Amino acid sequence: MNKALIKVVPLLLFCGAWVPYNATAITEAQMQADIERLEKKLEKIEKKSRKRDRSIQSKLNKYFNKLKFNGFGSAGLTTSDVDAEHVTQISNRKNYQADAVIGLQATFMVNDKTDAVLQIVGRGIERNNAEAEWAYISHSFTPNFTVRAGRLRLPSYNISEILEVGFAYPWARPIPEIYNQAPFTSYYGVDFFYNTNFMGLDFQIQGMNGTDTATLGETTINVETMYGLYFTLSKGDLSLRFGALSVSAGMDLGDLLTGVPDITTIPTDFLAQVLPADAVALLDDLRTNPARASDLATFNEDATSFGDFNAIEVDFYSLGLSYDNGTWVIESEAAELKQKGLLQGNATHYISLGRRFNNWMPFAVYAKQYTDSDTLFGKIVGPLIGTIGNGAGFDPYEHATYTAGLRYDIQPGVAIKVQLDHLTKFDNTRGNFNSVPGDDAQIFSVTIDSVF
Amino acid sequence: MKIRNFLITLFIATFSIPTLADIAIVVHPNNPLANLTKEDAAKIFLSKTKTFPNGKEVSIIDLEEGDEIRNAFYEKVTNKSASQVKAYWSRLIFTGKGQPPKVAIDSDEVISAISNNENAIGYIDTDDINENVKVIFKVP
Repeated sequence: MNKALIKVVPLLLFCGAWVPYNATAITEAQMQADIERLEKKLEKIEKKSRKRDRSIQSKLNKYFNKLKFNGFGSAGLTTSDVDAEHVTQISNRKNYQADAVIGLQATFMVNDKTDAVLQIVGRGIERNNAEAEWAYISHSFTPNFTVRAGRLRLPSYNISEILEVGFAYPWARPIPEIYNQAPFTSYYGVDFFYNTNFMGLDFQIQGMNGTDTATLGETTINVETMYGLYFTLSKGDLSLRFGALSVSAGMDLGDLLTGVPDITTIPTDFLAQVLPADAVALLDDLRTNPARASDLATFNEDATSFGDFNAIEVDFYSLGLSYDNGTWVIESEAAELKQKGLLQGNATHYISLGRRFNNWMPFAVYAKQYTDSDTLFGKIVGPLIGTIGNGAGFDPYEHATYTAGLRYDIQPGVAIKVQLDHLTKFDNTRGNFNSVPGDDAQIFSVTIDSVF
Repeated sequence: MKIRNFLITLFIATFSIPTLADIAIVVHPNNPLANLTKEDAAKIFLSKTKTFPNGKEVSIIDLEEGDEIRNAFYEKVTNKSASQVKAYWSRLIFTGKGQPPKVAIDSDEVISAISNNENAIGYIDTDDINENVKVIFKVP
């Protein structure tokens, strides 16, 4: 019995020794196969995920390439030496707001012919309502013909569409005689522009139609309709622009007319207490001189209808010239504002001359503005009513401005300007201030402008 | 001897004028446009002219702001300094009447952009011209 056991045990042991080895081998091979299978699966998942990443990336790229941001900003310090407030809201208080502006524009290229553009502007002074200055869709039917719809800027004068982009023009601010005439700078509507070349001249036509709401002081103006057409001809360094804008608006004068009595019933000597001497003399002549009976009738009619005054019909005509040969820069504009009604119309023009010396440009400007539709009503009662904000009023006014300044381009995209304006020749009127400033007024400004 | 050599070197150094890059305007070899006047070149690169004579819309390839070749190109062809070019484009951008051209980092990118687009136009250092582009204007 023992002998058999002795033979079997080593055999058993031997077999036994094999058993665990074989079990490990099977499990390892299985594990290896499992691992390989899992690795293959992982690779597949990674591949898919990379593909998805690439597709998201390319979609993002597509969108980012289609979206462009541009911006502009200005800051400045300005002050005048008179109490009266200038049409730009500058007075003898140190003013950091009059020229402070920041604008951001986002352009999304929907496709290669269509853009969606949004421009938001923040201003130190409130011009009208602080909203998006423009937000529109633009479509170019051909490379030379584009139509836009939405909220757009009024192209009334040479630089009306870039009013706040100080970097793009030489002076500390757009010449106020021209650019502060009307409170409208944007509108809701459509415009188009078309470029062509004719007999060696480049030609652009721009037309617009729209409506808007603006605020003049405490008065709300609802523009029922405005339409304008502008032509620009250019050749080489010279360009000429002319056009016209027609505006029909209703006004809610708010409290402006409360307390303005019907002066046709008030005796002259009573009014002499509140009106300036020459206005009193004029009124006296009207009322006592039989030869002026029809003038008196017109005056009385205007005075009584003034209580119902709520409509504006204005036409803005403009002519502009720009010349820049790299060294000499000449800008000049003439504009006429024609009112049908009691508000004053006016004529204005300026000429600006600048010369570049590398990155420096000294410049000088002469500007003149005067009313040219003096009504008797305006002469007599106008100063009593005063202005309805933004310098618009019923009284005659005139003045001239002499400006000297220096612009320095620190680097492409940043410019500093220093400017001194000397306003004079008021002839006892308020010029473009809200009250008579005296014999002359000075405005001094330092501004910094940039685009990015 | 030493002093003489030194003086000669000094003399040469003082009177050597560094050579500025020569720049040429290039288009795709299939572009029918054969040559350009300086005025036409200025109008194209300032986007005043938007189409080639054959009516196809121009696709401008510009170099980066600050690039020496770019500054030299605009000075010589359009008479505008870098600041003036920036002011010019800001007028177009902020009136919504134009977008500045696509930008390439170097000649290689310009050439590659042109090879992919028969209506592209750009400017490069004459040393980098190869058979993928056609020269239509040499900047004086």
